[in-house]
Amino acid sequence: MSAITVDIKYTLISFFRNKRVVFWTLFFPIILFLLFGFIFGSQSDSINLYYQDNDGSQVSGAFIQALNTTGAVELKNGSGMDLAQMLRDGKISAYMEIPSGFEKNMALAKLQGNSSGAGIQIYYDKSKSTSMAAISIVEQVASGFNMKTSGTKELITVNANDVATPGMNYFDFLLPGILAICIMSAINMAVAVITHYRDTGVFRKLSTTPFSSLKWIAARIVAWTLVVVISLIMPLLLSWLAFGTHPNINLISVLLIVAGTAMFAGLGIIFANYAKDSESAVTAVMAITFPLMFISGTFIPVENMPWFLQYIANVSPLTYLSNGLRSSMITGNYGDAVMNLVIVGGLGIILFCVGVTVFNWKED
Amino acid sequence: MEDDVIKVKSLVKKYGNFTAVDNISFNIKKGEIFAFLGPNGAGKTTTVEMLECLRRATSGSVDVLGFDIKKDDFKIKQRIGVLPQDFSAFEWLTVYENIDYFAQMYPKHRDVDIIIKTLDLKDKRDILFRDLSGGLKQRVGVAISLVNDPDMVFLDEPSTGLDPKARRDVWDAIKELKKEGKTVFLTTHYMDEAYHLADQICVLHKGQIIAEGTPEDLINRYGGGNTLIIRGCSQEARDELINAIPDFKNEGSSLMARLPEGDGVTSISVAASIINEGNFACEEIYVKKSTLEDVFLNLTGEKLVQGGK
Repeated sequence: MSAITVDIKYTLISFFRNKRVVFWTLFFPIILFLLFGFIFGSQSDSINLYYQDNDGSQVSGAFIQALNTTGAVELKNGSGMDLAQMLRDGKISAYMEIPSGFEKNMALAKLQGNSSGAGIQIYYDKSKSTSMAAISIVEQVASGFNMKTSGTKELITVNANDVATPGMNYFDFLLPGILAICIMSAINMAVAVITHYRDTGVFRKLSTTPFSSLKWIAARIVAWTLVVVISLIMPLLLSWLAFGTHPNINLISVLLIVAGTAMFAGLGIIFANYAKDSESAVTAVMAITFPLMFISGTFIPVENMPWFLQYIANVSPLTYLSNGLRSSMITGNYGDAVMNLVIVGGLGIILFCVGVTVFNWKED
Repeated sequence: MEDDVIKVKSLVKKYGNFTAVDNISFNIKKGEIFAFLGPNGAGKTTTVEMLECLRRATSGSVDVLGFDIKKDDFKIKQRIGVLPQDFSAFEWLTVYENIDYFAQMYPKHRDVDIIIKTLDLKDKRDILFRDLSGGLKQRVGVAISLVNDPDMVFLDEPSTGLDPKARRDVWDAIKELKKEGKTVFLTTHYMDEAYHLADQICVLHKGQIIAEGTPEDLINRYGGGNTLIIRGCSQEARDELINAIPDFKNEGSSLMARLPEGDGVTSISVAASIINEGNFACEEIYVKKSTLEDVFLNLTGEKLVQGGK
């Protein structure tokens, strides 16, 4: 047996013997999954309503203005965005489309007196409670508009279309986020092991043997990936059995898992290398990973967060990992999945190479 | 000399302006236990780690088993065994698995169960490392240093932090290495450890070797001579004795005298005959040998272990 396989074998034996670590590896993701699933899944936050004004007329502008003055929804101009795709990806809960010819149809309806005049389209995801609120607000504003312009006639009609992917609910959204957080734990594994081995002289000992630090990292990246995969099993099983999610495990998602592990392990190696002692290293990693866990599109879509958090989310590697996993496993938006894989893969290669370069178990 | 397994010449290690190892030279003979004795921070570990090819020397030449540490570190690694300072093996692996792990790091290694037998760890073979006592943990560390059947074994502070019984256990293990024909390089700040184990001692202080020799040599040369002590004497006897041997100093009802080197026996017989002739009643008469602790104190004016043991 080569030294690398010996290291992998004994690392896994040690892992399975440490019951406390095994327990947390298996059940921490489940606790997160259930906790956040029930906290955020049933609660509505501020209602964002994206719109596309394809008419661009005075009347359509007035309608949007009226919606805005209610203060009940936060209107966001979505012109130029692929709102349909965003809805399918679960990034938004609903959007409104004012078709071109809106003003003309309304004037016609007023003149001819028929009631099926100018239509407004709303596309929504019924699994999201905020979408229903958005629809009712638009309906109210529309009827107010009708009253004002014509008394009782329904000049503006609101057509609500449920177009979200079948079965997409908050647990579907959450699952890839939880998986991404499990993968992020590779950073903790790397930091904990490296600082521990430095303190206990294991590295000093190994450096006097023919085993090389490069081979050691190779062995550990395999072992860490296996532990990460083990930690993914429980949330996958739970979401499948209890919440009817059918995550699609394909080549892209597998590559994302491996690249994500390499990326965070590389980051961990860099951290451990520059930390003075094991305690400060573990604290520093906690201080960084803990907030990232919440703001990286894992529990809440990035689009629903305040702008300054969105800014941080955009530089968080976890965002790309969780978005990539969501696109590849849940929504089937493979274009987006591949784009995220390129980012995570690129970062993975860079961070891992930097980690390997700076890592040295010899003393100065 | 031909049977020198380690030859160190003008070895220097600097960290910025700080000189950790200051131009030291020494040789180690095949099959002996060689000890570096000195307080913490004297440069013991730094020196040993340069010999193990773990740290780079600033200047000087080191030859280990006929190989140059600068060029042949890979060949040296195959033939040395190391127990690093504060080493602790893998918590969740058994004694056997821990030794096996390190054995497999070498292309050629000894049978793990034979090593376990040599170090008397048979009863503990399948016990997790985390459940062992401190002394046994160190014994496993020594066992791990033997996996590649090395010619040269480095033990860096092998008994630091252990209780007296556990230290004896480790000492037995080290004596076992010598019986197996290994050359042992030991660093320690315990003078009794160096005294009990070492054939040859280098006293290290602030990066320099301040004395070198066998334990007896060092004590004779730097120990300040032996001390003659006579306890529980009457006033009469004490007056007579001080008259005959002016070196005697009164310490309550006892007398103490530093014996000049080479003159020990004369002083003792003079004292004994005075007691006999005067028919004085004294409780006891004995000679206390100086220790390596005295050697260090005399050489540096400092205590070896701060605060004493």
